[in-house]
Amino acid sequence: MNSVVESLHDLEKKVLLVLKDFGKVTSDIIAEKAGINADAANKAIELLKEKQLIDVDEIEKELFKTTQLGLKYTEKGLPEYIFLKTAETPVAIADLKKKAGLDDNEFNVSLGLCKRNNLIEIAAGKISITNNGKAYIKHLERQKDLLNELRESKYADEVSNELDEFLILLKQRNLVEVSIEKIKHVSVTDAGKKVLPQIKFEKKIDELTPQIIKSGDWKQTPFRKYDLNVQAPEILAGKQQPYMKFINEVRQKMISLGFEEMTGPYVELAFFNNEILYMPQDHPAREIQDVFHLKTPSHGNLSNHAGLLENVKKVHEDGGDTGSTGWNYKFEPKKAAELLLRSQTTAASARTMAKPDLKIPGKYFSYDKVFRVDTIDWKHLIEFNQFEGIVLDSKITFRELLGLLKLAAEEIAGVKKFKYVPGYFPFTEPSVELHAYKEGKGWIELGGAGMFRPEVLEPLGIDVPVIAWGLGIDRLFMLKNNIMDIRQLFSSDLKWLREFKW
Amino acid sequence: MPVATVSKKEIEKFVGKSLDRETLAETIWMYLKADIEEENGDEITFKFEDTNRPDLWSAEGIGRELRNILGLHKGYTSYKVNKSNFTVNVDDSKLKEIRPFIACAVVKDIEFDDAAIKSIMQIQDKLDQNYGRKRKKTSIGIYDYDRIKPPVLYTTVEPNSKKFVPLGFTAPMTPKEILEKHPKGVEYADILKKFSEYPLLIDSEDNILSMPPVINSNHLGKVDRSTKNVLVEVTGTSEDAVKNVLNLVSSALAERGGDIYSVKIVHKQGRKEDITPNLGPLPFKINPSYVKQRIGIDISLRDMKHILEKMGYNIVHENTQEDIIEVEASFYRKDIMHQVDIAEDIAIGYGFNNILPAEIKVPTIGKLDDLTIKSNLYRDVIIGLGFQEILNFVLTSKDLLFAKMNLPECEVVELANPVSSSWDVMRNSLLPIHLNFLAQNKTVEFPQKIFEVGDIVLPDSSAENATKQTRLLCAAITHPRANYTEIKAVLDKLMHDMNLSFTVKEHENSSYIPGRCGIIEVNNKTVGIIGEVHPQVLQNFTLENPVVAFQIHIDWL
Repeated sequence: MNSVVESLHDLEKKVLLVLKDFGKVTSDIIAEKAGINADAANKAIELLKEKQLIDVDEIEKELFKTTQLGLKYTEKGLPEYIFLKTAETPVAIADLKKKAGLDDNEFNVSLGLCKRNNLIEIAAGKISITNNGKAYIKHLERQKDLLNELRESKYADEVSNELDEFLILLKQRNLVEVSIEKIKHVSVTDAGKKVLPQIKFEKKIDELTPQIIKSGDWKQTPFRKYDLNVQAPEILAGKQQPYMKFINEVRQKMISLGFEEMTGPYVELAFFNNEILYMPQDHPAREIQDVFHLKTPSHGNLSNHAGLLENVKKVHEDGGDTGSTGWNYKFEPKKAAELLLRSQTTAASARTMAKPDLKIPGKYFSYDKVFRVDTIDWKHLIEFNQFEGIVLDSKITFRELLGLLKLAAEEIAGVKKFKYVPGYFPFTEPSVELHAYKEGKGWIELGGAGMFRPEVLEPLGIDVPVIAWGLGIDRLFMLKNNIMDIRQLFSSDLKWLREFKW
Repeated sequence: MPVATVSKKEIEKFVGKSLDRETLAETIWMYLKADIEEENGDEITFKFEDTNRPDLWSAEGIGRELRNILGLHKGYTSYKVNKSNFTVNVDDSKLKEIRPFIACAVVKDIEFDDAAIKSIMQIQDKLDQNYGRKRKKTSIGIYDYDRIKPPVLYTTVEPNSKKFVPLGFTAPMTPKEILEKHPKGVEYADILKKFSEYPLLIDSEDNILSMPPVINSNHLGKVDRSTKNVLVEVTGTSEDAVKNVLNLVSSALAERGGDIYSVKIVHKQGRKEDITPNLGPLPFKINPSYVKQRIGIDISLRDMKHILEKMGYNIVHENTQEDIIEVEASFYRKDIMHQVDIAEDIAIGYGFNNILPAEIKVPTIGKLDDLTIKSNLYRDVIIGLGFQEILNFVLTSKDLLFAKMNLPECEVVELANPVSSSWDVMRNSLLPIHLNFLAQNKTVEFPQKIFEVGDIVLPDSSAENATKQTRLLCAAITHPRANYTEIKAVLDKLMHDMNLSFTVKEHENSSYIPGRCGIIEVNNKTVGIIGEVHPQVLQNFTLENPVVAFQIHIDWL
């Protein structure tokens, strides 16, 4: 209980003391009696309520106020008042409007109202006021008074008794508007009553200000305690996209293992996606249903790679000097110049291996988008990401490739139980798949790998073995974060992005 | 990837032993590059990774391989081919441009029960569709041998001549009518339509066998439970592939107990007479030291030979001095192009999981791509300025890029085979993508500040891939009082931190409010655009609050 007292702000103390004397009162009265402004009182009431020292009943009450239109009539009076006043001397209908200075609408409404209630009579084209009308003028004067009275907002029970009968009438005519005000009726709780005797006013520091720091007041004056579990406002902060953060972590891991990042374009010559990787030109995987081809632009230019193209052509047709039989068909260089969206990041590996500054020994990796024709659902996207690497070294063998996959499984995917399974890729031999065991999910393929075939390396002039591996990085991220729907990786749900927990 | 549904009982029949489900699944997985996709009682659907091993796509093929792996057989399985005088004459000159190659076999004494018919039909379908590239490269025909009067002629006819009753029909039709009306005709019409004559197989009594690669005749080309002996024929555009397919079909029938007889292919226009099928083995040479070096295992020659036999190779000769083993593999191992393929078989036979993984000891220095480093710098600064990072697709639609943005259409990179009109072009700007994102988050708390660092792709005829890929940073702010000053402050701070001085030059762009849009210039070079988005564009996206944004090409800075 002591700590509660100590955490009370002076304003809260003042409010509590008012309640001690007055029982159940409204916040306005509290403010007035405590001698503080309404905002301060309300804030103090909120805080006391949170500390359960007071009870707050909120009551909604109607508050009346003259509208802009109503204000217009506070001086001249209501249109029908002017109308009747003008008709005190009989006047031709046509002249009345002008004389009274009413607009069309005001005139028509007044005329209708006066006629209906027999406030005027019309004879020989002239309008004159009736006795009823003369009596009604008094009512209208009092309505004007009410409009004047309501220049400042008032509750119904504050309006002068003789005028309140007109409230509804003026409200219907939009001359008076009503707003709902919440009135707080505040009373002290039992807990509050226990605190009351302990309240004493002593000087305490609330907000620490530059003045206080400078003056040294803080040396003598104690600090008021704060509610440390206060409900603080939410911050809309800057934040990384969760998947990008993961990718950058994986990139850092590759750097620490000595890999250099390589890149390649989304729009690729068929040559780098297929032919150079020893995919025959009529391979089923090249069919229209698997790879996106381009309408515009449809063809690229292979003149920068003429020598390489010739080497690749030979290898496809009869194996060249590799000792391979080749694919035994007629290679069409033009087909290799077709443009497509690369379906595998191995295209980037091929470009890297074709560069004059290729390092041997060398280790390279890439993380990038690939595109494949598919039906988009929770498991499939038409553009997704691959994580890929190659190692070139004279002493490298299939054993090192298995070692690298082990590293990938343990370090990147974070799995302990995994298995090597024979796989098939047209450009590697041997080819292997990495499968990991996940509790509750069984065996899951994490990626594929292999050693580039001689038919791939020889045209590139590479005479050391090269191992290559690729991981389904999207799936790794999903596994790690228990994400079921692959579309979530590119989420357009701002709330999810903001609330994502690392 | 090819998929085949086969009966487990059938596999066991060809293995010669019953198999428990686990052994079957594990062996298939660890040796045959195949996986069980679905199981339905005795029926198992396998998915095959290796498109170059069509011999595996059947119960016969799986059974044959498992016999070896499970130790019930060593080396390759050989099949006897009996001689016969059955002859097929070929009109080479007429077929040269259309479908020049044919290979045939006769298989006798087969029991065509339901399982056999089902299996043969599946083999035919898988080979036609996948290996045969939808019958364009190869297609198979199987006929009731006893009804055919040899010799058979492989020739071509005019589309409107030679009516016959196609399989499953009752009325005779011309070849042209078949392409127009028969469901198979319609399906495969594209292969023949462009020619002035269509291929036809006719026997000596002028009975039509089939119109390859489209349809058999109802009379000769029907196989049912009463059939005992069959003629198998394969036509196509690649001699090698045609012969390979024939070998696969006839050996599958031989696995079912059939006796294979050869067929003489007589070429009318001078080429040498051919006798098919040829089920002789394929010879290869391997260097044991090469194999050991590639795989990284040190195994004895004895073990290597043992594994080779298990994997279906016969050892013909070995010369340790010269580091050579001569082996033979079955005729269907057309996938072996280089000894590297045999090295893989040895590794598989040894067991990938029995190979001890080795650590890579290649000392190199790791390095991020320069553009990655730069992108991350920009990302750091803009995140520090309170922006939420988003990631979007590169594929988008013209509607989003142009109509919604109040912009006239210009040339973009466009797909030839999009899956949907929502993803048929590559984005040429990030702003439309950002506005689309904001439109989906209208009920999320404001202010909203988002950014993406991502690539766009533009046509560029001077590049070898006819496109230019460039990296943009786009940042956008929306809330009821968002204005130019607010986004300019962000750009100022970003450029300051990146040590770049820039100017904004007024610019007209119908996506932005006139007088509130400018080109961002660094060293007199345009690097981006900034402004308040035009209310018409906001309306197009159903956005209710002002949006201010900029995008800059960070790879041009």
